[in-house]
Amino acid sequence: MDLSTHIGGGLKIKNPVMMASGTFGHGAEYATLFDLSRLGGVVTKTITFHARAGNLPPRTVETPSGMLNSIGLTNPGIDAFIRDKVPPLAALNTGRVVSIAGTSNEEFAEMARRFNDLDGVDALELNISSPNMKDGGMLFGCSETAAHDVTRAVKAVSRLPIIVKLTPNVTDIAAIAVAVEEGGADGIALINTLLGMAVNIHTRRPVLGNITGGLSGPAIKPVALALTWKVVNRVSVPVIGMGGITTVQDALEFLIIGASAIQVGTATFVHHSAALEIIDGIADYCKAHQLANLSDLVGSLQPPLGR
Amino acid sequence: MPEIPHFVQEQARVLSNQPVAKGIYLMRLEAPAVSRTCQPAQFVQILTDPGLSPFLRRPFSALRVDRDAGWFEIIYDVIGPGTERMAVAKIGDEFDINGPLGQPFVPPNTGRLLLVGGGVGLVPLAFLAWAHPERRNDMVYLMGAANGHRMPDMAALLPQNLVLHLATDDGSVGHKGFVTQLIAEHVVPNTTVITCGPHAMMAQVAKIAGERKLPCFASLENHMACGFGACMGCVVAYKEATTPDLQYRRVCLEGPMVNAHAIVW
Repeated sequence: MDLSTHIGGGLKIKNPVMMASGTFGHGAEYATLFDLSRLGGVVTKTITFHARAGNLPPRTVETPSGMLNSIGLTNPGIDAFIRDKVPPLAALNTGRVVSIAGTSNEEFAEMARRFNDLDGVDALELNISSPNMKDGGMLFGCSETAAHDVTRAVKAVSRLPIIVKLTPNVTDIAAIAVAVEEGGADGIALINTLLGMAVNIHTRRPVLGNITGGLSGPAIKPVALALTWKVVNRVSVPVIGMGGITTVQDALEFLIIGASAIQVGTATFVHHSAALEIIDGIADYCKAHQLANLSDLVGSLQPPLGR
Repeated sequence: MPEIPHFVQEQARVLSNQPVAKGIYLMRLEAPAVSRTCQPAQFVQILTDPGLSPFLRRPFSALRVDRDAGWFEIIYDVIGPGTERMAVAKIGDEFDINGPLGQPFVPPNTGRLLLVGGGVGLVPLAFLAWAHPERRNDMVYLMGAANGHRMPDMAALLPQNLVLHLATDDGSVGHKGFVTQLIAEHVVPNTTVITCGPHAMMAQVAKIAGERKLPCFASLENHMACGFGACMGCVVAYKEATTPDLQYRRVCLEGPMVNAHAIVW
């Protein structure tokens, strides 16, 4: 059985299950937990040009079947990342995707350029969707023009496949997806977290130090699935679906509606090897349904009964 | 930056689970792999429900381990849906746990160890006393609680012959007032203060220790999602950092026991 799949720009990964950005460090530090070579890929925690402290704590709070976070892109900056994190990442036998976020088109492009001459990075994921970055992030992902232009700026200088990660906090995510495809995106990933908030009724203060944060976990899966479905119907580049994927059932739903790959994020916090169980479950499903290739499953959604 | 601790995921079986004070429970869990390596200040993440509610694990410090018998104990305050599920667990029930997590803490090997606990913050301090019999003669344990109903029978939780002084806010047991008021009379030259309890209490302990130029360590218990360093959610602010990304550090990974003078209270 062949579970390999294409995620854009000619990049083929061994199976469709990837670790989502911001939920698995820079990848290599978790090599003691399980065999990372079993994964389809790892997306590293978003880096910015300059080091960032991140947001004021508290940064997380549990909500029904999920959690809010307002981490705020804590990271050591691109120079320290390339110096300290890329060598161990490069040594991993899995798809190695680096997530970057800039504060301008030029900064995005400059960051992307730094990876042109590095071995061991297979693709870049443009984070234009963080709800926790006031000077960038979601600002790029909320406008068709801005999303298009930043994608084009990066594509103009990068030799790597470019995956653009979209925010659900927009009126029409499919229109943004079309815009980034027109900007040259090789692949599209969605969804980033949904903007959320929680209040402590005893103190009447926001629970999060940043006031608002991003909602993730099983609570958002149906929303993520619907938005992914809308996007796969409008673009021709590979789409990586994510948002609350916790079980193999969740992953299969995304693949059936047409996602070429999926990312596991918040579920890892609870079951650190959730991704491995999902890989095994996808293989079992394909075997049980006599699907020789993952591509036989991707986009195999049937019309509703009666149509 | 510290390495990710080599934790295990294990099905832990409840050996006992009973209240030791009003709303406070002692649970003994059979979990051979975790018990074999768990050190003072380390903690476990317990999945209190196999479904989605509660969704995240809950962190609990270890009180005591028996490495040969393969069990460890925790103490928990029933404060929400997770601990409510734990409180009704019966002998033989199982919980999915991750552990041991966090950095082990080894106390300085000379001088007095002044242990200042509040509420369920007694736990990591008690583990220090259990784990270091060679240092017990130098330990003084100060324990605070809101009132007598919330004060566990400490003799049952601590090694024998440990010097212990109690304080309650209402004076129903021991000194009337905050446990922090007991610190001054127990400071001798070369004292190290180690504390765990409510944030305000630990902040006060750190302040008193700072005024007397005493080393002070605090075991923090911020809200956590993963417990193994991935989410960056449980951070605490540090007074000094060489680079911006070190301004906040993870309680779960760099801690939970931290230099109380280095952090922003």
